[in-house]
Amino acid sequence: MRQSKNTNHHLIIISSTIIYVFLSLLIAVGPAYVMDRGTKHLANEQKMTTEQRRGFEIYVRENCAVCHSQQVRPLSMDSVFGRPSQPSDYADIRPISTWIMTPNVLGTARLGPDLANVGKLRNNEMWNYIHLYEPRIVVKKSIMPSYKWLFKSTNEVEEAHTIVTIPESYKPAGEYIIPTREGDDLIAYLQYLNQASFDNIEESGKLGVNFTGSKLLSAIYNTDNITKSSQDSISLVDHDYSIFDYIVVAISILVVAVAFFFLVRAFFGLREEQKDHIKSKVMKHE
Amino acid sequence: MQQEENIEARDVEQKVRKGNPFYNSPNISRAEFNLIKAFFYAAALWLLIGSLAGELNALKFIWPGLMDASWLTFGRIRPIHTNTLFWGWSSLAMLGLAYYVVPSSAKAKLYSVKLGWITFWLINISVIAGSITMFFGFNNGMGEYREFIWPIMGTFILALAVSTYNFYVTIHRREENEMYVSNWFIMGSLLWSLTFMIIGYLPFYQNALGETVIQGYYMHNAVGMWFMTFTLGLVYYFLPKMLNTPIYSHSLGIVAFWTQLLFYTLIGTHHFLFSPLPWWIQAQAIIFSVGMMIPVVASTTNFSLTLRGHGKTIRKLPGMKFMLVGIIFYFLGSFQGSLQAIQSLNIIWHFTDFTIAHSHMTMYTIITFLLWGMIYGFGPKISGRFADKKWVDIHFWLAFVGLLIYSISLMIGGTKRGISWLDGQPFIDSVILMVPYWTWRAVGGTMMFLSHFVFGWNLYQMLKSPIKNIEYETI
Repeated sequence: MRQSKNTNHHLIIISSTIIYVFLSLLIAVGPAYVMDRGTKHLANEQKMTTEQRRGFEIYVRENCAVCHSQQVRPLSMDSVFGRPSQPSDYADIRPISTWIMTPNVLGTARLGPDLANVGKLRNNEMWNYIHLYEPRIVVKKSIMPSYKWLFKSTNEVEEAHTIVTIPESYKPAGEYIIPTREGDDLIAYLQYLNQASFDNIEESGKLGVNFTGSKLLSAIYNTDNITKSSQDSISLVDHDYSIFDYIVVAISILVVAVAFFFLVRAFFGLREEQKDHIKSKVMKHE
Repeated sequence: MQQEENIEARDVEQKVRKGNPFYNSPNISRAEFNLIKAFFYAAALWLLIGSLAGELNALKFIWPGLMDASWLTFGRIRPIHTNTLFWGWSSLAMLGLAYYVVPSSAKAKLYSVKLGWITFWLINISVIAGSITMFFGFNNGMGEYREFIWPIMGTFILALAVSTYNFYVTIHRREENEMYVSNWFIMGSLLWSLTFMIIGYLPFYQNALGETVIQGYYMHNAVGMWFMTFTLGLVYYFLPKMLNTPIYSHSLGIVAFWTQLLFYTLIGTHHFLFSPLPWWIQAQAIIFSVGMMIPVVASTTNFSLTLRGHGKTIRKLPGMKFMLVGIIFYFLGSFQGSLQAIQSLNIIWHFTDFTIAHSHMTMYTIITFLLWGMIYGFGPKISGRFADKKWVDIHFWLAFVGLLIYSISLMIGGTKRGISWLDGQPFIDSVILMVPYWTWRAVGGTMMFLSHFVFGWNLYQMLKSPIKNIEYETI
């Protein structure tokens, strides 16, 4: 019987954890750091105002990203939502407070439509108020929840109030529906979602991630090569491949091949194990 | 008639028990029994609460105006559904089983029951606090499975750290020279999970798209490193024990361990294909998503070969059906996940309900079914009582048929929806076409929800009180 090597628990547990930490730094923390420090606004992009930022907090509180993405892919099917998203589009996404970290606006589901450019696509403010109060007034088959707690009904209306034109059957009789400050803020944020044009790209600055922090990290991670989709033409993956990309792909394939080799080897070992098993049974019988 | 059936059932139990020394004695102390029982009961309670939230979510797709108070809105209930089932049900059930598996497979005494109770309370406190804060919309930035704010997730991380220490000392003091592969997986899972959870919550590199890189990494590792790796460790122990046969190959298990570590860590970005993240992160995530089938094939082959020739036990022993389905779906669900990472299929399925089907085929049919199977197989050992086989079967068929209805309808609907988007049809058309599939999903989901009550009843029957002549170890 082969001497087993599986006896040193410190070695197994600690070495596997060191490998795990190393892989995590390589694939998650490193790229995240580069994206964090390298994502900058282009010259022609708007920054969030205080009101819009408060609206963004409501967006996070109501967890809108669970149904709405903010990520236009460089695919023709996504072109209805806007131009392909670029890192600079997210330069304003920062932690909400000490308690709430950087929100994930990209999302993984489109139960409702993408919102990356909704400020341009839905620029009628009143439509937005009505839709938020009760989506089915304006989109009959919508499954979006109604956000009535962002509104209040009142008898007395001041000049400053926006009166939302809600049909009688959807509100208390004789009362007016006006948005609360939270409602106003949220609409302001939605109107802020407005993709900056890349028509004058030379003047606006460089697309992609402009990381200038550390030479070492710049050497490890290719930073200025991001999907190129600045033009109106959108192909499946409109991308300039660099040597770096080819190297990463080659290494990845190699690693999978090596792992596959070990799997196959274990399968061959299996046949041997089986023979030993039968032999020992036969000997016992005799 | 009823009595005859009962006698027959008892005969089966006795045969199973006589033939399998696993059921001879509990091998734990009464204090450990109480601890494990508490883990299972709390887990079952979170399963009910979490699936109640899921049920409400499913109904909201059919009646969007249903229960539209702010604290019951979809955006707030949905993370309560996922987080209670992740950190409440699955995590507690896994740890409850591990509090037996770690000492037992190391042939050592559990270092501290008290630390076990600390883990138990810290986890429950964090899930309670997390659920309450989310009712108020206190949501840690919408990233999936990262919705608990950091003080609450910090409590959960602390709970894991306490158990990691407890298990590490237990293994350190073992008599057995070798370390059985279960403990590789369980210890690896705990330490890796501590790592990814801390990385996921540290703020220093998470502005703008930095957050997205971490989100992909975090959500994939939560599933792959915490739930899958840990559950595999448990299956490597319980499957052979329940069948009364050695695991077919220890070396295949070790190949699975190292390749699990290598591939699952690297593929998080396949949740963000075609996003503005650097192309090379996406490319390697796709390639390693294919490589991910290596640990899956290694483990499923090992389990299948271990199962071979035990058809009778699978039919007779309560819980074995769950194990069988869990193992089959470990292959199917993982294969489905690899397919979803291929660019050309990702274009159709990404952002659609297909993803929801996939997450239920994995977190439910793999993790939850395996946990159920192991709890049904393990409960009788420590209490001397089998759950009524008839009710276990009712649980199984309700959950399994419900899951099939749930996921197949969403897979068909999700595919049709993706094709509708590819065709450039108006978005609202893709909502309308989903309605029948969402209705079927609610039907399947309701069956799954009902089955959880049956599980709760069966669990109570097994563990309410140990039989009289059972001999617990004395400390």
